[in-house]
Amino acid sequence: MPSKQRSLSKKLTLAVAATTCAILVLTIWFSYAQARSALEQQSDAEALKQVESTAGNMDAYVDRVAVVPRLIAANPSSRAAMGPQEMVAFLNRLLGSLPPEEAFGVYIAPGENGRAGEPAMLWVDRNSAPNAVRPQGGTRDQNKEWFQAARERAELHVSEPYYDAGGSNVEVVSVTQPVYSPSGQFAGVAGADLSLDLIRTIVSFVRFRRDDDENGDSSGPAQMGPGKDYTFLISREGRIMAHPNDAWIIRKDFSGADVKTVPGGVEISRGSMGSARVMESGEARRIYWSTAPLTGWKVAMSVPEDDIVGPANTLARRTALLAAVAVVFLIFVVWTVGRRLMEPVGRLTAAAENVSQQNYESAAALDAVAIRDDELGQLAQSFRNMVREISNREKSLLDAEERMRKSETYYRSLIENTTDIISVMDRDGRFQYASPSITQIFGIKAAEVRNHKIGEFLTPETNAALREAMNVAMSSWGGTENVEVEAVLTSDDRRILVVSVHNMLDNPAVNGIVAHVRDVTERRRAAALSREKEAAEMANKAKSNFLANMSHELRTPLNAIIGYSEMLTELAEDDGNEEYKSDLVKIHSAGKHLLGLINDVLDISKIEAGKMDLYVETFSVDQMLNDVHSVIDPLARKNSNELIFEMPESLGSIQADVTKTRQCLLNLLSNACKFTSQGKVTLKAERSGPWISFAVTDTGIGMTKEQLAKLFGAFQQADASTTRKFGGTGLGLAISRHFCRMMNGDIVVESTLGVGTTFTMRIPVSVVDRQHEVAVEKKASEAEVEEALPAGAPLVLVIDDDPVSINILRRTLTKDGYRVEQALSGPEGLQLARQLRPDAITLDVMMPGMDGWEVLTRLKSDTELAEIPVILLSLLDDRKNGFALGATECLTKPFDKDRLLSVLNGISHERGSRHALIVDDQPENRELLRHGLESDGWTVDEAANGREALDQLKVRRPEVILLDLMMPEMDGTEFVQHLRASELTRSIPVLVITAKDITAEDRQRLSGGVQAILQKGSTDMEEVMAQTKSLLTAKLRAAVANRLVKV
Amino acid sequence: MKILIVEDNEMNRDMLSRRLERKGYIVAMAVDGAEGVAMAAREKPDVILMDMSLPVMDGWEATRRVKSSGETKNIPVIALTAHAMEGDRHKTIEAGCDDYDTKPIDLARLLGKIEAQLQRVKADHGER
Repeated sequence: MPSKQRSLSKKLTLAVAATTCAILVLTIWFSYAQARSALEQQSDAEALKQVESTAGNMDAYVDRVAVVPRLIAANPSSRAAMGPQEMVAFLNRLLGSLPPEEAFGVYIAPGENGRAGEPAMLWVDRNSAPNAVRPQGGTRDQNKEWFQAARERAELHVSEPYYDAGGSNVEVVSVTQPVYSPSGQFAGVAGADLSLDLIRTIVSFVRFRRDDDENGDSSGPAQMGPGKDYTFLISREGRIMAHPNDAWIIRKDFSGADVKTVPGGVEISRGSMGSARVMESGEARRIYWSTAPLTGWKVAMSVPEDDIVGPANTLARRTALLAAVAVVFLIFVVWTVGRRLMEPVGRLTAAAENVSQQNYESAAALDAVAIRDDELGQLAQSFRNMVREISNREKSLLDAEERMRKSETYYRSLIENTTDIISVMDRDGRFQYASPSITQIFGIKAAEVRNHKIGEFLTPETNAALREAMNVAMSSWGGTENVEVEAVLTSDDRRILVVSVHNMLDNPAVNGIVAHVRDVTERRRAAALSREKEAAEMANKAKSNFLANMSHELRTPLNAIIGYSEMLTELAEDDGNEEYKSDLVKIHSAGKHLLGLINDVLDISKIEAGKMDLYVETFSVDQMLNDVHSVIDPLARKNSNELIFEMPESLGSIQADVTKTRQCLLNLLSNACKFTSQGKVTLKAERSGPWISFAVTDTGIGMTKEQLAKLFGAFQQADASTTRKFGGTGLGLAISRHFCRMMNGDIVVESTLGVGTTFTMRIPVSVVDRQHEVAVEKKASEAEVEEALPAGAPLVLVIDDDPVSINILRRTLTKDGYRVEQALSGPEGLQLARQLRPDAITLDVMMPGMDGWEVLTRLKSDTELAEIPVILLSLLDDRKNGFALGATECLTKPFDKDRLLSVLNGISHERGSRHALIVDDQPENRELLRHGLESDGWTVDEAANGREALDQLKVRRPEVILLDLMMPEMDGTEFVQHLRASELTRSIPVLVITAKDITAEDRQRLSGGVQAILQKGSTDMEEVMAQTKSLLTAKLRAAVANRLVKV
Repeated sequence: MKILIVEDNEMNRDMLSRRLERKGYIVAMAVDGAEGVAMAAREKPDVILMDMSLPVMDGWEATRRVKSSGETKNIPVIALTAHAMEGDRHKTIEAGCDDYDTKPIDLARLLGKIEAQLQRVKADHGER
């Protein structure tokens, strides 16, 4: 493109230049020719005029000299009268009257008829004057041309030049006049001689254009040579009289060169006047000549042609120069204009090219062009507007595309992310499109379903129903039909699908039947479940109401039975009727027993209905224990038991549900009394920190492990025979434990068969009625947050003498989901650590009395406490000592909150969450294990086989897996292989509990995969727990060791 | 010492009154809440034993009335209820009862509560 643009400009310039040059050359040539011709004519005229005037001058000169002979001839009489002397004087006078350079001498020569004695000739010249020269043999002169011609012509005669060898010895021309006697007879000739020197001098000064001062050498006598003009004189006879070249002019021995021998001489001799062009010494010259009428001399002037046409040439050169300058200027102007004209065009071209490459910004470069007020400016403006328009359209096109794309993405993601299947089928029911959710329902990929019929997945009946629905929908344009069908995916996986069929065959955008498939299986199941649950709840409620009403109805007559029997007993006592009395006592005690049973059943049903409420109030423990004592004492005495209450002087007041607390104690004590005879029943009450505990120890029959495991189950007594022997519903312990747990406490049991049993009941000294509180008001105070924490939340014991520090720690830890207990001194800390077995301890180093180092040492030297991780908080950096003494982590005060929490989180992950997975196909076995673990504070997941267990693992990772080997679907061995194959689950310890006889082969297959193998039957719960604990302890040790290495 | 028993069940009323009389108390009886309130004002008993589920006017309402009347408000009211199910103890306390006991009656326990209330009133009077 640019080359084209250049060439256009160049073309224009060249065209203009060529045209101009041609015109100029023609003009110049014409002018030159004109000027040259005019100059030539002018020069010719001037030269001719000059030679003519020179010829005239010559004649005038000769004519002036001719006065002398004429004067002599004019007075024949006086001359005749004169003697020779007088004649000489006369001649002297005549010579003197002429300017000395004009005439050399005058004379008179007598003819042959002269008087005798007369000298042949009287002659006076400038050399002899005033004496006359008397030449010898004067007659001789009569033969001379000057004499003869004058005589013959009888008039004035100008002679041919000659060398006067007679006397003067100079080259002269004679002007002679015949002299006649008064009688008219020829008397002789009078004459005057003109020296040729003078004539030559005159001629040599005649120069071409003498008036102009153009030639520098015009003022001097002419010289011959190239470029020089000169004039020469030719006599009548054609002899050269005067010429710059001396070789050609007359001398003593040479009468002068013939004119015909010089260049142009022939032409000169032919005409009296004219001009001729000659070549002389290679130089073009012009010769102009003219003949003087009197003397017949020809004056010729030789001029170099250059002198004539020189001005014309100069003019031509100047004009050519001027023309060249003009042409250059013109080219420049044309080029500039062309460029200025082409430049905007170039910009337009570039802009157009840019626009074609979708670069619309470049149109701004046209602004400079657009401000022009000419056509290009208009063009640029139009172009710019056009570009703007294109750009806008392009932009709106892109915007529209973007909107379209977004909209497409939007609707696509709507379709692809819905859980329902949105599909398009042809009229035969083949899938043309299905949204990805089809994978979730049918287990096949959306891409694979194409051209498959939905009917392939349906039962024949429902397929027919679907077919019919489609037919209905297809019977009308835009028809819609809903149908519920059942799909069979596997033999035991049937799904209920609601299919909405929309006939969109007439919609060209879809051209198919849109089927919207929704899996309502879960919803149906949930609905069914919900209905069942509702029904169950209703039934439960009805049961509860029934029980409540029944209890009322039962108690009222019972009230009468007990009351009247008691009253009658007293009456009988008063009357001394022992026989009646013993029977009345039996009625009374049976009534009491019945009442107890009714109360227990009522409590259990309330607990199960979730309607058991706490009523928290402040009460005196001492007073409550007094009440209890007064109730239990008779019972103890009945079996001859010694009842011992061990307690400090005062236990003070606590905040709890006094009725439930009392009921629990009564239950424990009455049980102890019931199962012990002639032994000791001891209640040991003590208060420590936030807890109060009551330990009821008997020296009774004790219990086996199996009995213990079932102890807290509802409707379970240690032995069926027990009920028969000791009475009771067996609900008491379950109720008591539940009450304690409601108050955030618990009951634990230790028993040795045949030796005795200890039940320890523990409740907080300040019970918070959570249910009530939450219902009344939701205050997010810290205390509440803390109390709202689940009982299973990890417990941190804070040992610090500074209450402010404790407060800060409590706040920090509570927020992060830890329960916090506090101890203000080392001894208290140790005591609480033993009681509470916290998940972690934070320990201040600087404490009065027993300092942190000692507490740490004691903690680590106590085998039971050594495992509890201790985080040392110190003002100084005591890491080295701390780690040496067994601290898990050492932080400096003020402690970094996040650091502390991350350490605790690490610990609680390993220790705080105690979660076990029980894998066994026997529900009873699972239940047994669950009980054992849960009573030890574990949370438990169950699985009936290996596959279920693997599913459970995905939900929650347990700290330990208790595994049976013989199971359907996936047995224990296979499960272990799966477990060990995954990086995630490899490290979970596995405890195998199996009834199977373990073969060597089994062991080999399991080896490395499990940590311990226990035989069912030969294993009791305690051993399971012990094994489980030891597994975890080992793991914890490893984790702590790891942490230490990391630190 | 005069005790007002408000009880709709005749057998319970009979038994309780006879047993209390045997212990040396003077007993007055009402068969529903409204009568109880009226008798409390008329008889000025030292203690009222109030059954909660009563016809005409229930025990809670009757207690509130007794406790809101200037001349009877100082009489201790011991609630007697078989409503272990929904008989929230604090509900009776909220209604103004001074103590609470459940049916069937354990006479020794009830006597203890009665005496405690009498002692309390005595102490209050003594203070004044």
